[in-house]
Amino acid sequence: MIGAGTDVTVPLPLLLSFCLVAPALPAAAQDDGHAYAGALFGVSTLSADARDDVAPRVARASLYKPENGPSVNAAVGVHVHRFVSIQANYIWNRNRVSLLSSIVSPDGGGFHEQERSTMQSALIADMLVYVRALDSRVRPYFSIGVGAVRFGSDQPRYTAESGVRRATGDIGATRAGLRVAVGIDLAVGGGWSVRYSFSDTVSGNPISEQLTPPGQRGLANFQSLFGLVRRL
Amino acid sequence: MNRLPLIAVILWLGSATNALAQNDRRAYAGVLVGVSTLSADAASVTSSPAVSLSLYAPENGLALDAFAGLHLAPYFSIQANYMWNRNDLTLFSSFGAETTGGFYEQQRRSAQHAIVLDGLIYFRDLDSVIRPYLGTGLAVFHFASRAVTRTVSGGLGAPTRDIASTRLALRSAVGIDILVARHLRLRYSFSETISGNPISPHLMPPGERRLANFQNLLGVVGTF
Repeated sequence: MIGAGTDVTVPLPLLLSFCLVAPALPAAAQDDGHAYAGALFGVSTLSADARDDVAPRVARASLYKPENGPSVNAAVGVHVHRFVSIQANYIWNRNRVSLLSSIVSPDGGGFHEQERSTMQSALIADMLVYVRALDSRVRPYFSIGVGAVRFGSDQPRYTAESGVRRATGDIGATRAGLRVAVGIDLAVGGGWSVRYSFSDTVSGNPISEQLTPPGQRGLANFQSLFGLVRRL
Repeated sequence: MNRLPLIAVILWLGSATNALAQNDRRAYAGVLVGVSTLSADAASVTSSPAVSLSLYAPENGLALDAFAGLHLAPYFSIQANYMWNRNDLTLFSSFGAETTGGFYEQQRRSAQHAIVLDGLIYFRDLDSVIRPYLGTGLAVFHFASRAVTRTVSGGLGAPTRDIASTRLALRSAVGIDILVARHLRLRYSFSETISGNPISPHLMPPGERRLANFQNLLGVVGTF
């Protein structure tokens, strides 16, 4: 939020990413258009998780199942070399998630089920290594970066239970994330490029912690993104 | 019986490489080894007070890719692969209601054999030291899980039969060839092969997701 009483809301990570890259932009912009900015849109696919825990007469099992959701990536960067760039990203995505925890035995069973809306926003600093030089029209790249990922989910949209009780409050966590990506820039003239990017951001899993038994896998966020990049 | 695909690939490549080996060393062959990661699946049905939940959890396993191909153009190659991987699986199904319930957990071994025909698009030409590529291809694979290593059952019967199926699949890969000697390159490849799922129908309730086989492979390629 910018200032009390205003209606303008700017996500904190977006502000931070501009603060990070802004000092480099004026200098780089005067140097053959080595600075660039862009926006990409696409689909986010979260990884699922499931676990079972079996004792002689009792089995506990749990899972969560995410749905694909929209994703946005705003990026600013600098071509620091003909084959290397650094880039700051603000990435946002939204996904619905169903959680189920259950217990069964030969004498009966029970479960707790929730459906939630979740959102992630991340601030990631990437290094891009291109396999063709800066003046090429077709520039495939791969990248790696680290940053902070904020995961949030409000109250469940739907809850059903029979014999198993679970907390139904908000879920919120901020974790470190590792992002790897492959992509390609296709120059279309006038300093503009079309960019396709496929990335995987791996972080701790705040959803699995809500299950009984708790899941054990990290959270992977796969993003297929398509958009435009322009040299400044 | 499972060696038939390998023999077919060798025969096909043998006839092609003889003709092209005389032409600027455009034929190549190699071997990659690495790790195979199968996708998991889970399903649930709830109807208060009843719940059914099933899942299978695969373990990472060994993978092998033996291949041969032809550089048809500076930026394009075709390649035939024989691929094999082995993964342990844990299957779990459960059912519970107010006064009754049951479950089983079963651990199995599984293996896949595949023949894959790929087209590779390189981003740097044939003479470059570093040659990243994209590949895509069609595969025929045979999945089999015959050995059950452990079963825990509490009122619900576990599968007793073999799980076996032959399916078509789509493989996409990214990779990089790095020249390390005159006729020898180091290759890293990451691929995903997507197909129908031979495991999920054996769960109760049955899973619905396709089977993805992710392979991280590293090895060498020689030109002939």
